Amino acid sequence: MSFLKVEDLYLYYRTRMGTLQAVDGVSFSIKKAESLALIGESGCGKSSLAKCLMRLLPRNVELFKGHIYLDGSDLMELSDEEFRKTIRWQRISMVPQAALNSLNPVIKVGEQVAEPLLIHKSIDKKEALERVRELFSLVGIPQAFMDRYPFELSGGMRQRVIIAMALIMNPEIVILDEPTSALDVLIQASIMNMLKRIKRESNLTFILITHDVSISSELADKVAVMYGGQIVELNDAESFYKSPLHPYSQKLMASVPSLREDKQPEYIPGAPVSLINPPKGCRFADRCPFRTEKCSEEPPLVSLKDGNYVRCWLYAR
Amino acid sequence: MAEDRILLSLRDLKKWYSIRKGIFGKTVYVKALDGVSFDLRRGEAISLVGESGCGKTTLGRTILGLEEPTSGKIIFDGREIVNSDKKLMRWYRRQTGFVQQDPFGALPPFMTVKRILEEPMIINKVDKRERRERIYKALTEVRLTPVEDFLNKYPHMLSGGQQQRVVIARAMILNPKLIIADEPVSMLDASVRIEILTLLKKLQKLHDISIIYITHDLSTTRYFSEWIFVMYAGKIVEKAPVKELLKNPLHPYSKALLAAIPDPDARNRFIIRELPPGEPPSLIDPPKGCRFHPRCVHKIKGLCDEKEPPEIEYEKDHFVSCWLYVQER
Repeated sequence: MSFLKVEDLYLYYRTRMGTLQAVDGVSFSIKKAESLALIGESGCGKSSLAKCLMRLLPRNVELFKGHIYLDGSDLMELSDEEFRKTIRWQRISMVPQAALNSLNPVIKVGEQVAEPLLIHKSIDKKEALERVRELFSLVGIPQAFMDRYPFELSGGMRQRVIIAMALIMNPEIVILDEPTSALDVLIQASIMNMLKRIKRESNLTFILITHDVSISSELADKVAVMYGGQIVELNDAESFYKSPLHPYSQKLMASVPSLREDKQPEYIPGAPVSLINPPKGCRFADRCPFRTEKCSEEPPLVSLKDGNYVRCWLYAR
Repeated sequence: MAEDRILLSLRDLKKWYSIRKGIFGKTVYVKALDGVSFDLRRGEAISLVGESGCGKTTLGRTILGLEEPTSGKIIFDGREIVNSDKKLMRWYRRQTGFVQQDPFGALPPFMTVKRILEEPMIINKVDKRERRERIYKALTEVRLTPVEDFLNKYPHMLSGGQQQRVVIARAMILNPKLIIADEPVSMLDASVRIEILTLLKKLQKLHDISIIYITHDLSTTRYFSEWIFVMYAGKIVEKAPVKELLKNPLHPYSKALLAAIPDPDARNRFIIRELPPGEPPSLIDPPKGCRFHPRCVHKIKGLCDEKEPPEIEYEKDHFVSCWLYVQER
């Protein structure tokens, strides 16, 4: 039974250059407590997909349609007000990208994290701070930091505060948008350790957005590779990291410099496809080493097991 | 090491920044670089690896002459650079190129690519015809071709990868012998990263230049440099050939850095990595003895927290500053 099921989701933006197809017919589903990694290069639509799930849309939206089923009910049928009151931050929350400097500099971090509890749930301050204290120990922040201001914390600690903020309302799904990309490797690893522990000990469903294939493997049970606004491959972690199917996934994997093996990393020739008037057919065709004539037609979604798929003519029977 | 192959030597280089605590407080020092020595050979690349605040950027800037060292020596091509006269300094600046982290910030937004590349040559009085030739050559070498398509573009019209190529072309335009690349690819996508690093490597071989590649990302060092130097809290703690260091790291800090970086593998999600506790120390009042000792699992009481470890050559070309490897301590 899928817990989150996204079906034919579209998000187009109006720009001066034309319509930008940021999310173009995306479908996937994940089970409860399963983690999905969403990987791809900048501008492939990963963060836009997160915006759809949080319904945090900019003003220049031209098209926003499709279905987002959470536990069976379609979130797209909710009004903005209903979505705000019952879903956003309460059931689906997010650690936004580059949020390190977005904490309020004049409020103690403990109180900042407690704030939504005071506003949305009718509990007193003492109780709310107690809850924050528990949460801080979960995300690895020393108790003494409750009364500190953001500037007194290191980057790693601030990122933990922001993760605590995303967890405070007890959500079921947490979207992590590049949660470690601004951090040093040791801090990155300790934050990933913390997320793995939470994943192990709770029922949380994580959606990890990253351009770093190695980091994605730190959390992912399932991997979705995005290219040009579409998911080109949705696969289980076991199969994906061993043998990715879509030519783009393969190229992405080949570009990862390996620390331990003697394998020269390769880059993908050409530039990512434009999302304004993308070419007909397969969007990766121009950069694909396996291109055939067929690729100028829309590639089929070839089903794999467990609802996974690859969008490529190579696998069509 | 054959003396004539050495391009750059640093000897006990220090850079301390003075800050005052409180209005009438006493002056204290941030010891960003605290005694760095190494030799860099012609045509070779060093990866300088370490976390934010370890002093790697300060080291790059001090070598370039953008920061005045507090003490120590910089010897370039046999000449002493620190406190030298203006004429030598001007010569030295021509010998060095700088590739910054943020390409967009490094390029003046109101200049075309042509003008950006021309600027250093105008300052150094290269005549007009030669300027044109060199611009064509440089843009071809960084593969911004056809050249005509790029000459009149402004930085904002280029992608991040293309901007970084312009920065590289500018750094190369005076035919320097040394390039310092400070996190040149950390703002780029994975595939573009490899493309830019491959390009730098090619230019290094083609022109026999030396590169100091400053990065926090160990995983990109393997294919793009001959040496890795690991920095921690203002000091270099380990120096070794790339493959040797990646295979056989000696310093507990190098080991920790290496262990923290995953290779893509579905099993990673079940592994909790062992990491040193805490965070790098303040450079104002660094720990006594070995600076890593408060976080080190192998700490020897009464030694590591008292006396600074000497640098020893553990194996040929593999240097480490750690008491664990000192025979007579």
